[in-house]
Amino acid sequence: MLNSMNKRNLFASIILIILCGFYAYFTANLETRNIQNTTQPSFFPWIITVCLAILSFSLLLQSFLLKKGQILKKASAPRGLIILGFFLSLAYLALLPLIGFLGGNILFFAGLSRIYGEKNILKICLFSVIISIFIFYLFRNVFQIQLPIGILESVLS
Amino acid sequence: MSPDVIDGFAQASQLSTILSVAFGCLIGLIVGMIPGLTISTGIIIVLPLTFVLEPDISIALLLGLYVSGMTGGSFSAILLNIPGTPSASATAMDGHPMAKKGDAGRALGIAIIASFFGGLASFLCLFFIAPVLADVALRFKSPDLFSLVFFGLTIICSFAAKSLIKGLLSAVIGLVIVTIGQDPMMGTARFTFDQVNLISGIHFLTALIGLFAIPQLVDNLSEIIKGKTASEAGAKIKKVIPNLRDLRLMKMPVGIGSFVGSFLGILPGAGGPIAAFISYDYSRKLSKTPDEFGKGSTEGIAAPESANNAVTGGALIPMMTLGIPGDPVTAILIGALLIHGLAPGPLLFMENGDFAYGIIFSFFWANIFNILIALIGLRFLVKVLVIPKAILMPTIAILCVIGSYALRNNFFDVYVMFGFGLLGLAMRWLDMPIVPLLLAMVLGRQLEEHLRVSLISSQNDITIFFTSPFSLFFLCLAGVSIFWSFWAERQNTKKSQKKLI
Amino acid sequence: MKKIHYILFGSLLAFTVSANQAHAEWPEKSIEFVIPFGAGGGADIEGRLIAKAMSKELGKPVVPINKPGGGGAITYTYVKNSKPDGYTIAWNSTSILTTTNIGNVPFDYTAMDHIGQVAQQPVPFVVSKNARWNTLKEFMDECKAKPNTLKIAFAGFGSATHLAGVAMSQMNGCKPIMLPVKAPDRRKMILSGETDAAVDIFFVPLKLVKAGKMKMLALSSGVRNAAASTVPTARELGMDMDFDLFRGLSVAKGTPKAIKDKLETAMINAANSKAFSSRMKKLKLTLAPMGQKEFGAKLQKANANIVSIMKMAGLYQVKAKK
Repeated sequence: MLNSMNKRNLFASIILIILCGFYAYFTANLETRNIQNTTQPSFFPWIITVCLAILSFSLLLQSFLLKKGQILKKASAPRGLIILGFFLSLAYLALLPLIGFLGGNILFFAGLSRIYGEKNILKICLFSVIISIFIFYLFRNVFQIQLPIGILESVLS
Repeated sequence: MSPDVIDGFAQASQLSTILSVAFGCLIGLIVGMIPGLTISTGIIIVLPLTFVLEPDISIALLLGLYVSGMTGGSFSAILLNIPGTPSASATAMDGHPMAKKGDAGRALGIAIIASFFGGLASFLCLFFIAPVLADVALRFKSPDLFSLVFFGLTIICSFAAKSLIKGLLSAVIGLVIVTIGQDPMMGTARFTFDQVNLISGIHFLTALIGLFAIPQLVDNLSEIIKGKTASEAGAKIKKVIPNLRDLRLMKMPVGIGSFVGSFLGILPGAGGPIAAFISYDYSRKLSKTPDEFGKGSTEGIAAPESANNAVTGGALIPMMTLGIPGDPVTAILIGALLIHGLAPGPLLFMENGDFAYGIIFSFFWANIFNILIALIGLRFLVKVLVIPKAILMPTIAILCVIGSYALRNNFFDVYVMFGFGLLGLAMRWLDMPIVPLLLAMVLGRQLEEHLRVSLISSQNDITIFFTSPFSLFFLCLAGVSIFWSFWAERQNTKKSQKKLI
Repeated sequence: MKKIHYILFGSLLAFTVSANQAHAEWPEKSIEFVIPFGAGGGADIEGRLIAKAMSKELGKPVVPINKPGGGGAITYTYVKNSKPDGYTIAWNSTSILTTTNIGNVPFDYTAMDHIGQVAQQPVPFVVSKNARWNTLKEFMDECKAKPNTLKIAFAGFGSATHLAGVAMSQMNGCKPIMLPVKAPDRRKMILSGETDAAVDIFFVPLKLVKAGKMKMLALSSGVRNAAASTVPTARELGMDMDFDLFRGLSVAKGTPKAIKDKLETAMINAANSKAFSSRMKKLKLTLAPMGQKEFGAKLQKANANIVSIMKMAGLYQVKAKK
């Protein structure tokens, strides 16, 4: 899938051109302010729009004009694990406001630890609990940064 | 000597500041040493600390980390042939062969001592050049500053990328992101889509955590599967202090490395790896025994090691005097100063001279503690190399989430951080450099403000950018840097296409 | 599942009970202290200091939380919408008058209850030491004679420094070029001669005044400041303006009086504590603790002044959604 740099460039330049279109649209609709002798808030975004447009089209052109680049080697990435990690992170982030940092971190740590290759369940439990609690108290009591603990709040207090 | 220098020295030499430098050095050596973790990761780990510490203490912490991270990177380069940080790649070329010969301790010793002298040389540069440059910079007006920031951005792009277009695109995407939030002059909301959380914009530290940490977490996952372990790190380290012959041999390469490193450090975006390779090259050309290079030569370790540590002091010069960061670390230093209400720039020396010199002397202490901790603690420190990734990586992941939350006590920022992580992965897939994007986020507001203030001040007369000599000079430099990297890229593609044929 | 229900029910019960006892034994849990500035800034450090001193007074932790953004809009909205039980307090500033009147939020300062003020500082009109003007009048006269030539730098449209600058120039019938610039650049621009004058915060330029690089021509507040006693006030110079940059505490509207009184005493004691007052002295901010009544009167006066200046400058409610 898209394993030559030229194809990737083509793909990226199309996305960037679409992005540039949206950006231009929103820039055109920015609020203006009636103050004399000043540039409007949309002034700088217009400059960026122009730069972005020029650069994305150059990338598009480059992907056509350049001779066929070498085919990129297939990365030996463990795709399954990465996808698993991605969904674990998504679930963690979605639940974070609800379950809070203490509980969430313990679960997240345990899951990641498994993904990074730790097989011993006991070790996973031990480290995830100890490190998460340690970090949590470090922040709460030493750094004075309040990390919410979600529903655990009512259970613990 | 001005009283600020003395006050600064006193400030930097307080117990709390010194302890903080030492702690920073320790973290720096550890993250530098572990392959897959860079100095940026180390900074991400201690970042929340800097929100609560006093400014001089948090800067001291970050400086210790910066200096020692550079040195720590060479440990794994020498022991495992895996550079802990990109800047240490050149060190591996001679460091690892020497270690293989059974002289691991000697190689490490040479690296540590070369680092020390490189760092010390750049401290002197910083101490003498920074105040002078700040004085000159006081005369810069808005058009000059606009051109200067513009030049800073273009040179970062041209150094960072193999492809100029991608470097510039990365910076422009950074500028797009920076326009989200309140307009710096009028205060109107821009591109906020009625989201309260976007009114104050996207903080570059949030972006930094995502951009740097998440691709690293993914990388490490791949590494583990390949089954690279660090078990051989426990290799016997005998004598660390190098012998007299080594010290004599080191003189020339350390001199070259210190000079090249300090100078390239001043240029935004050049950074450690380039300085290390350039001084390695020069040292080989000037050496009496160039054939030794690549086979475990003393000079081959000393040159890049002194260079990458000299870069640190050099990079602090534009950061402190002009407010222009040259790499992610100095960008974070600026961020740390800003959240404490201290804007780096030419006025720092005038308004908070004691603080400015405090930074410079903290840098001095960082170099001292770097060599002390590295030499004394070496044997224990290399044990860190065997910490299992299955514990290290989840810890870092959690710290990323907490760090991005704690910046503004906001879950929204955590999601933004994650989004930037995906962006970082996409950019790597495209071979697009990350650093220009990040630095554009740091410099974007300044760029816009200087541009608009210049235009208001001149009543919309664009020629002021060309009539002011400073401004014209910087614009020319910007043009040269773009043209030069365009030309270099063409030469490169020609070469590689010839090779293909 | 049932177990969770019990736990939830139990905690709910505990919660209602504690809510009922609020009056008798307030405070009985930690108090959220919301700071409208980013962590680590000057205003944040002061907020954290006073929070620390207040925890000592109240016997329960007062926990600082930063919610910066929108010129304080995010913090004020958050505290205004919190339960009026005194467990959420805002570290306010002049922004409570500017961000509301410019229309960043759909309410004005009266939508909250105010506990009092902790410190204040005037807004000075600064020029370079070598400038040809020695009084504000000389500056304004030249400005009047040659409109659109003299430049005045300030912090950003709608900020307190902008209001002071606009008020001073408009009341003198002068038309300068107004340059919106961030803090350190503003002072640099005076030194480099890029701007002719600047309206700034008080204590940082004061250092440069003492170092003989700048001079102050006027202050925005009603009374002279001890740290710069030779500088005349705007009122002395015949301008109707009296406002300064203040910092104090606010809570949600409808907080019981007993709680507010308790907070007031705690705040004033904390402000007078040694740790806090020495910090204020170091920064040359005027420590001026003020209770609910006095602060309320001050806010009312300052608000009227700010509204009239904003109307004059065409800034009143400009950001409000139509």
